[in-house]
Amino acid sequence: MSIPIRVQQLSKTFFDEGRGEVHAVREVSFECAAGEIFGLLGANGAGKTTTLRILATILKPTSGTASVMGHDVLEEPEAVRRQLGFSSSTTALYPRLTARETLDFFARINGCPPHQVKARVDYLIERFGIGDYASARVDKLSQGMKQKVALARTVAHDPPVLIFDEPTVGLDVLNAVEMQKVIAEFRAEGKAIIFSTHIMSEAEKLCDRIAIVHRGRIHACDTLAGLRAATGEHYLENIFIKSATAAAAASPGEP
Amino acid sequence: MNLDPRIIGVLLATELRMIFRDRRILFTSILLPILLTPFLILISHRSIRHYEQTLKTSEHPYAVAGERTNEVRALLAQVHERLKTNQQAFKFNEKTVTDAMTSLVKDEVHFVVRGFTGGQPRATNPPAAKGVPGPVDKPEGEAEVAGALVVELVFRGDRDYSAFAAGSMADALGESRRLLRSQALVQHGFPVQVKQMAVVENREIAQPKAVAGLRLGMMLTMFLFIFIMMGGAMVAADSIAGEKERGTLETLLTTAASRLEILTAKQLSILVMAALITLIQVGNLLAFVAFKGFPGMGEMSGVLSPGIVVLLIFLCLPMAALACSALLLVSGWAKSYKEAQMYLMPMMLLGIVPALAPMLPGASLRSVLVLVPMANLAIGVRDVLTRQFDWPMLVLAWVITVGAAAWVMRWSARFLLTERMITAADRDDVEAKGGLPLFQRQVWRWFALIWASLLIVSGFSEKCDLRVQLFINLVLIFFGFCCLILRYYHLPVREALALRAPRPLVWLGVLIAVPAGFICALGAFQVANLFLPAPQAMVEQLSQSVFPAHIPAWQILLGISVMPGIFEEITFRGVLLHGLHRKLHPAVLVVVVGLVFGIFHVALFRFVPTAALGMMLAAVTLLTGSIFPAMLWHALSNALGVLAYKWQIPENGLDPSIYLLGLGLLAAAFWIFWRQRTPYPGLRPWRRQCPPG
Repeated sequence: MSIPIRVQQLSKTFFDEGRGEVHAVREVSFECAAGEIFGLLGANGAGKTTTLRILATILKPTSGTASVMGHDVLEEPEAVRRQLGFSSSTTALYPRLTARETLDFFARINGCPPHQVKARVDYLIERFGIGDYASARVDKLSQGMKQKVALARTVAHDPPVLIFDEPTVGLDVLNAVEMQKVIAEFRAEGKAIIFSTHIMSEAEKLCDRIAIVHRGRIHACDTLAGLRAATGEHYLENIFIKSATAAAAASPGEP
Repeated sequence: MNLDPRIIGVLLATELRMIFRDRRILFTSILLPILLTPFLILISHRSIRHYEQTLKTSEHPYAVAGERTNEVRALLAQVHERLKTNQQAFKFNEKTVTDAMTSLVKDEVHFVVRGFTGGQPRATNPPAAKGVPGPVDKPEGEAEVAGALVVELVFRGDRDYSAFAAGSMADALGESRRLLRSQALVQHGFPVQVKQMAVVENREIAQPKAVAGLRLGMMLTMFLFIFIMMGGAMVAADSIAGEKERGTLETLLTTAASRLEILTAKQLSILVMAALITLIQVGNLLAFVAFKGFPGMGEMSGVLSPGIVVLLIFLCLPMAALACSALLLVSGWAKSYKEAQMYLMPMMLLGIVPALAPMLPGASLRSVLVLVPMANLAIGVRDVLTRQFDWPMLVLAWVITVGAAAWVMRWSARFLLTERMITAADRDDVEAKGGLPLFQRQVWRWFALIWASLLIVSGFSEKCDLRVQLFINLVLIFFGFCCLILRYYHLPVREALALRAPRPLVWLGVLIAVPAGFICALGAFQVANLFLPAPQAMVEQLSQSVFPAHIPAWQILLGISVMPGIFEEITFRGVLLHGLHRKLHPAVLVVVVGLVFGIFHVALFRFVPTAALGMMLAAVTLLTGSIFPAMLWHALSNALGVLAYKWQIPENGLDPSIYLLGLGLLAAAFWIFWRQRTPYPGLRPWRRQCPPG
């Protein structure tokens, strides 16, 4: 069985008017299996979002390759997007659509067969408990309601691969916990999940394997137990700081 | 890239659903036009009527001044009496003032009537403004008769009452003068009334429909463009820039819909809204025409038969598509809704310019205007409304505007791929690196700029000496822009201009190709002439302007042969070809470079032969990897044209066998080029390469 997500030697360089060349991602490689939550743990600006945007085919890599369910992100971007659901703190919902219309739209646009759309939408409304406000416009919903609709939207076409880019940013504790619970359920359904966060407790709680990303590079990648063994630290926070400090010492010239 | 109609349908339906739920768009784009436009039309129409009525019915005070006031008053009394008898509305009455001119300046009187004795010097107080006509009813250049009464009407052009009253009085005095002259002649024994001497009549032979069509056709495109912009602007601004701002664009870009499908749906939604607003506005206008809101507009109803309406819609569709593509482009470029809105007004003003083309005197589809998107269809619309159906040119105009719309849409699609859409980086990798990749991306912008410069400068330089014109066009514009491009992108000159030595036998091929290519280009001209006949007068005028008698032959050869051979080649087979060589398949590259070369020769009837020559020159450059053979070919070909003109060698109506011989020789020349080929480096493969195995 092929590996759902495979990233090899992926790099991305931007040009910024103020900063000149910015190496957002440097030779990143990892894989994510079905039924696994792979965590990208790093500070803001570490290159997590850029990596995930390349996987979602929003950005093109400067070098390296990435594939989703066997489809190359450069060669078959539409096929890649059909296989994944993408959710981030910056992706928004259409405010002038109702919750039901939103799910209907994203199911259809992502290739769900027309005759199955209604059943799928009804299922999602039931599963995420949004029946009470399914006919309300999104701009009238509370943050928690919007979050549920956004989660349902991400899996509207039942994709085998899910990408969550800091999904709990801006959520209160209850909603964040609810979100983590749903993501764990997706893992149980056999989906391959990439989960990026800068919140250590979330990574500890959810991720099967964790990659520590710093200045565009992956400096350590293992299970939590493996990371603990390698660094001799128990808490993820300490593991992260130790890895980042070692990385900075190893390559002092890199911005 | 495949377009899935089902996906486009879903996107379009959702876009429209959201548009009709947006209060801003509903209010500004739909409700406002429905309510405001009729109101504005009604108010302006009523205001103008009221204004004209007030001017007509008001009593206009005037003063009399000068040396012969009594005679002036007598004349005015006659005018007064005649107007009263004829029940004409113009009312005027004399006001007694101490200083007539001061009173006029102070607005106490609307005009002053001054009486003078002809042939005698008089005070000019105050000095007349520029452009104010001379004494009433005095033909231009006619000397004043000594001793005769000269009546001068003094008024202020910056006061509507004054200008209207003086104008009405001038008409009335002119009529009185004619009556007096007639009476005097009869009294002195002239046998008939003066008005019986001769009758001048106008006879209009154009159909009333065509006359009304001309009036409508001159303005229709401009109004439609304004309506389209009114309807589409808000939707377009919201379409991409608004989505960027709200963060929904990233959500959309992670769906399975392709960028082109997303863009097509957005384009269609703008088009639907623009069409809706246009229908509403046209409905407004028609309602007023039906209610006789506009005097004289009623006759226009006969202009628009169902067939004409269908044809007009067909002609207007590419214009609407082009306008919508441009709106989308602006929306894609802008980073926020407000920024997009900021660009829309200048864009609207810019777009109106080509829509005004039908108002240009003598603007015709059989001119370079046929190559200008939108302007060509605007003229086409006018021609259709005046029942002139020049089908080949209408089709050409339609194709060119459709092409422009597709090109702008493709450009918009690129914005959905650039990273400036969603990242902090203002420029993407290509822009960061600069050099050839960036030039390849921007090559069309530069050539549009060169073309526009050439057109604008030629408007000023056409009265100059031929040598000055050639210097400006070839050295300043072509060579100047090429140097600028080379410097701006830091392009290596040798590679960019293909300054490489070809194999020696290539020169033999060029010597064979020159007469052969010349004959073939003439043949292409003859074939094109069957479809687009070139006016003989235009051809002769061009020959005379290109070969003026007062310039020595060597200077003509230098300017028409050597200089274009160098500078035009540097521009087209050098810089343009270099900018496109990795983007296009070699065969397409040859055709495109040739077509651009033809377009730059401006006159439509020269397009086919110059494009044919341009293609041959591009082909030889690609085969030899060198610009020098093309330079020699171009220079000798032009020299051949000069000599053929000088020695009166007929260029038209050659025996068909000559054309066949030319074709054969050309094939032989290209066989030599092929055998001696050292291909242009970096070209795209001729055939798609299959992976091994």
